[in-house]
Amino acid sequence: MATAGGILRQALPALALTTVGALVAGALLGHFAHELGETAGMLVLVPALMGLRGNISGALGGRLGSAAHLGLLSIEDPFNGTARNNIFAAITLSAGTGVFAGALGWAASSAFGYEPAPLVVFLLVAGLTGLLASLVLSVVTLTIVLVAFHRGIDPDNVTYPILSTVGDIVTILILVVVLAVVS
Amino acid sequence: MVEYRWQRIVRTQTPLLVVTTVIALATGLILLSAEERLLDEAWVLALFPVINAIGGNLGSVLGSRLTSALHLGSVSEVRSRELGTNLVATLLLSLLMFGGLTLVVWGITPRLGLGGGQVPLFATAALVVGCGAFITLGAILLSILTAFVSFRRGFDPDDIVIPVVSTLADLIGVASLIGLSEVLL
Repeated sequence: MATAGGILRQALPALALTTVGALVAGALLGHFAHELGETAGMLVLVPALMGLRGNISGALGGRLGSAAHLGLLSIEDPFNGTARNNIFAAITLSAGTGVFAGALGWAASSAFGYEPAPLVVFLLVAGLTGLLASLVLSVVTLTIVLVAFHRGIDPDNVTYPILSTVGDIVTILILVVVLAVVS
Repeated sequence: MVEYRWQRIVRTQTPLLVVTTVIALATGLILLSAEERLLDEAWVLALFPVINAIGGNLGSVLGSRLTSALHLGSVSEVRSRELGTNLVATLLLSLLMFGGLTLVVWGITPRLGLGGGQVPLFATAALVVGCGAFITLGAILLSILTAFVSFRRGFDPDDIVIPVVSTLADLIGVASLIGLSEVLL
């Protein structure tokens, strides 16, 4: 049976790494606060868009880790059928959830009287951010799994911590760029 | 042999994503309600990813360990020694992370030009540790609840615990960040 000290020793490095990533993401969010504030109501989408990273890319990492153990992935043919199906599912879900969040976020902030920017801006910003962030994060996830497995490291132990370290940063940067282009 | 087809993955994940997105938008509405203050005091906005990352991770680590223990049969009751050990580890991790974060935020924030100027160490500590306490307790209760309930209802808790716990922990983190910053600053 594990001891509290043992759990602590194993979990602390990954948690510390994630925290550094989130600190950088937070500093970026603070830095671009005024760009975010210029498009009325955009703040309502930030938690939903940042949540996609864990819920979609995290699940992708879990599936790709299992697929690597089952021998269904290969570093010589990185984009084989298994990888393509998994990545296409992640991108579809991410873009779809983005558009759903955009529509519902716009409706909710209108209903609560925040006078948000036009619906089409919400749909474009949330859909494009979901699409582009999952495109980047899917390739990152596949790379982590393939490289880890190739070097004899269990992908299940490293994929999620690395992914959550870069995920927030990637999502916020893409959101800021998409906002600048759309508005 | 498992075969991965994108249509099946999309069908499996969609219902849960609808739920987590609705909760995340509620979190977003809380942020929006404090927008003016958050844009002025951008360092408070900058705290939100890190408090949520730590809280979500604490809940996810506890949740993953619990779901594995449930699968293995080494935990079957809420009152058990193994669960106790895991709770102690989670609380210690939380204390270390939020204690450390207080010092980092107090030391770095005034140098980033994100507003706030010289925030006293006491107020920073009360804000960060206070949010940490709320999100840690919430994450612990939610991961125990979702792990046991989903397991007993015959679902694979691995599919449910992490998305639900991390999304609800975000809501608790943002609500306590906005609430406490209103009181303390």
